[in-house]
Amino acid sequence: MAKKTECYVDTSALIAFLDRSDSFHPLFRRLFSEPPPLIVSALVIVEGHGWFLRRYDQRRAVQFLAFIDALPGLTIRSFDAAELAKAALVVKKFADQRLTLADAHGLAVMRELRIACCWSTDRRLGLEGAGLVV
Amino acid sequence: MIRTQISLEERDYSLVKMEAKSLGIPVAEFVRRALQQALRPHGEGQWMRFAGFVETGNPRSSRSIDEIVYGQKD
Repeated sequence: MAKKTECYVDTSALIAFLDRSDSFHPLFRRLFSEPPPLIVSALVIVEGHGWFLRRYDQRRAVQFLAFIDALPGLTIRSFDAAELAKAALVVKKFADQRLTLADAHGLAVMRELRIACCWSTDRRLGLEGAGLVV
Repeated sequence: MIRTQISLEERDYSLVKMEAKSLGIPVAEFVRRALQQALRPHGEGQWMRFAGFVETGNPRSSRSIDEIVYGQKD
């Protein structure tokens, strides 16, 4: 039987791990060195890829995808019409927080799967009660 | 540290010089970092070679993602 997903991963955790300048880099370097079963929204992958495209170039964006591919035990939660409906409810619930759809989908996934741990440097990912690692 | 000599294609050397300059580091340091990324660290998974593979110079990098991806709100 597969191990239960332990933590949700947000774009900020991926960037903190990949960018050596980030002040949280040492923390996420340690966390990612022995990762538990993790789950991520497909929108986070889109966001991360977009970050590398805008901040750098296609080559580094492809390297980002190679990292995602190499990360073991990572479940990617797809985003379809049903997931959009769930994320939209979260966006409306926290209308004052300027959540992106990626943030909202993460919150919806954590609530649905009762995931209590979130790898993120964004406080908003704790809005539904998950504990942030920072 | 071991001192060694390597031969590079002219185009690669130009790119290396450009990248090193943009990071504010010597070519030798850039090559050392590239080698560290290419070599699998002992006892670590393949994914760890991506750890810190970019250096934005921004300690708040992970907290300013929306500004980069979605742009600043007017």
